[in-house]
Amino acid sequence: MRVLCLLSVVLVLASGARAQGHADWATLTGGIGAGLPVGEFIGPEWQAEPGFAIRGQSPAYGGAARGSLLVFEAEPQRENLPGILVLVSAVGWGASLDVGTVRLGLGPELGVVHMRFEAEGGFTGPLKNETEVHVGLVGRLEVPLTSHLQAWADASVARIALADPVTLSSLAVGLSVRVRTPGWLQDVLR
Amino acid sequence: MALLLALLLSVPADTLAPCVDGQTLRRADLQAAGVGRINDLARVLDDLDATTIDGFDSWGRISGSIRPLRVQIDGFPVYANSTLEPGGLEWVPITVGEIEVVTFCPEPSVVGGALSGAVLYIQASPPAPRLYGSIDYGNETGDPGPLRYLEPDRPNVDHEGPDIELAGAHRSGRDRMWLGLRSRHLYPTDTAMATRVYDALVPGRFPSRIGQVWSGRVQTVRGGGHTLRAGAVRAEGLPHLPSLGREVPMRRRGVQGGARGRVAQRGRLQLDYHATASQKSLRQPEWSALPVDPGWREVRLLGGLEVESRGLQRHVRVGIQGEHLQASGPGLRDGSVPLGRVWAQSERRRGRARETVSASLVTTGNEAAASGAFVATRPLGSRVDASIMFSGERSLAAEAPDLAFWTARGYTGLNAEGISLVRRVRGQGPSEDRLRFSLTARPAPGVRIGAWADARRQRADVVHVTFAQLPERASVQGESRLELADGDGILGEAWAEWTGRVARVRAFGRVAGVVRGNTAFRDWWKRQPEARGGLVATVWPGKSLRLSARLDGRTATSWAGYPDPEVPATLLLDLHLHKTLWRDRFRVSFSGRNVLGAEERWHPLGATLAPRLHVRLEGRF
Repeated sequence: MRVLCLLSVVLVLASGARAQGHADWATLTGGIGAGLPVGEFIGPEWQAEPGFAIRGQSPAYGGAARGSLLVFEAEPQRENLPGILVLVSAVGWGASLDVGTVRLGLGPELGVVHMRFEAEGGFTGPLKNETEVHVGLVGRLEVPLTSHLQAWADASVARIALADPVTLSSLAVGLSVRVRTPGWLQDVLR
Repeated sequence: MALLLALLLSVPADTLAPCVDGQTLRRADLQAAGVGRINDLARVLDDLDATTIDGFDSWGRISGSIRPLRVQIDGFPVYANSTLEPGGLEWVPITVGEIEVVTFCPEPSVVGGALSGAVLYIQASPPAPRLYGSIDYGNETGDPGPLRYLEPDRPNVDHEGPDIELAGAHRSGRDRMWLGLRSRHLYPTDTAMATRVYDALVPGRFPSRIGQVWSGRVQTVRGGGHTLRAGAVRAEGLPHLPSLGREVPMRRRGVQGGARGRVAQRGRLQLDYHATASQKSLRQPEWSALPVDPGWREVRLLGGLEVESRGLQRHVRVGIQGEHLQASGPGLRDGSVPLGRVWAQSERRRGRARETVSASLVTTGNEAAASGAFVATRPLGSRVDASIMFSGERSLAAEAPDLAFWTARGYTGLNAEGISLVRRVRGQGPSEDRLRFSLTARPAPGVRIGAWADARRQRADVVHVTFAQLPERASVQGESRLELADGDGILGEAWAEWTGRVARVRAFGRVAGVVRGNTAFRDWWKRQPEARGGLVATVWPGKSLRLSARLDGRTATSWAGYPDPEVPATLLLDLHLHKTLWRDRFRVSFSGRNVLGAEERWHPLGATLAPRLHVRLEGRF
């Protein structure tokens, strides 16, 4: 954790130094890829399955403002438990640092986890869905493939504020496209 | 001319708060602080020690004051609740989006015809947008979620529902109009109150507080300038009544309307009028399982005239007012409460020096009470101002009638088996004598520091209730009584504020203590924290982004008479992010409250509030 904090400080300072070269909201980057939650979800009673991830970001305030969505299913590991469709949405900001052609990023995020409990075969439980807040930390690596296309990989750790807080770790890899933000949209965002 | 007109309509001179030591928060401050609901005002004003049981509706209590908080909107008195209930902020007839400035004034002044203690002034904005809408949604952490499938006995507590505001405005050359609607959904299901709440409901009814608040306003400069203001409330809820020690199902209806403006002007002299009418009713809804029906209705009519002389240095006001409250309910023998008031206030300003002398007299015909206050501010050099205030306030019980007042007149609507409601028979209301010193200095550009000390001699009848059950089922049983609280207390505060190019920081610390007093007085003062301190930092890295943090710590309080009287000390950290979009047409804010997860509880019978996130979206066109 200390290493992550130290890295955050270095990236923030580095972001500040190069912030003048990236106008706020000048570009939009949208990406899609595979989302890979790591290990169990909530506890050993549910196993997280691979899903998909959507990412969007734009330069803002010396770093990058981000929005993300991770969707996956958690399969029950015993009878009389429902499967869970999990949607993890978040917004955040991250500092970034260019190392050669590779861009590294790290920053906090805040969001909500929406869980839908699947009631199959007439099974009904005490809840149909639940929404809970989470806070997290995301690290990102981007490698340009062309002037507009990048490959990216995210690693995130989120703390979900349930009655017994749980940690959700996930990886995501995919491709993203960067475009110039339309003028009207820049007007909206600024 | 257009600018002058805009100024006239946006800031009526007579609604400006006459404060020396007041705290003023403008719309940008409120947005940065994450104020999304009216009740949030109680969280961001340093000298308001609000108390809430369900977490949604706060009873504003002024630090060290034994008198209830008074609220004014655009110079109109606000009667948000019926006189049977403690004054809360939940049903104040205004939308958050309408608020331009909030000022909390700690020193007495003539407001609405009465010389009274602290007042919360809410000033509505000029209705600039033609359309306005917002939605505020909160999510409290700590739900069991999937864990309920593993441990079905875990309680699932929902507190927050959506809070939606909609408004429309119309502007023409000389007129402004605004019509707003605020809709609330809240769920009083915290484990601290769930037993009491479910006991009060018919089987199958989910506990909820659902209500709509309408607010309407018309301003015109025609005929010397007039403002019309109206509000309405329609709600189903479970308010907590301290005299019963429990929540009571209520169907609430209320309307209020008023007008104020200028009748005539000749030279420096002007004649202003004000008039307000309000009607409130409380009924037992069909989903109530409690054997009590408030069956309550009250109508209040108030009107007055004020003559003002406005000079360059001296400003004199003399006024007269009549008020009549007519209540009806089960067993009530006499629901009529007439009041007459006269007042005078003289203010002299010369540069930064200022002197204000105020006096008022209130009478029911049989009884009378007179009050007076003197406030003077003098510059001590170019950067320091000093002020002194002394006041003597006397009031009548009829000015702020409560359940005990009406019970003494025979009201039985809230009587239940095992409860003996207390009767307020003395005609005199709370009295308070105060001496206050304050210093304000500007030692460097952007820096302000200040300190004040306030000594108070207070005398009031306070209700002491007796509980007979365990805390989670607590309700009043047995003999409650009125106790005369009599004593001296002192408060002191120091604060500092720095405003830079992209940031502002404010810190404050306050202590309160009893110098002498009887047991009832000491018990009353123990209900407020002996020490409180806070740090508020706001940063705006760009013109469209504001980040704010508020750290607020307070010592424990003690509520004698309650089954579990101690409310623990707490340290609350709130974090907010506020972003404007599309040239201020849209706003989005994220507000994290109590993010450290401290034990946030405000009353011995109240909910313990977990960390929570509010997301607010707002549009103005």
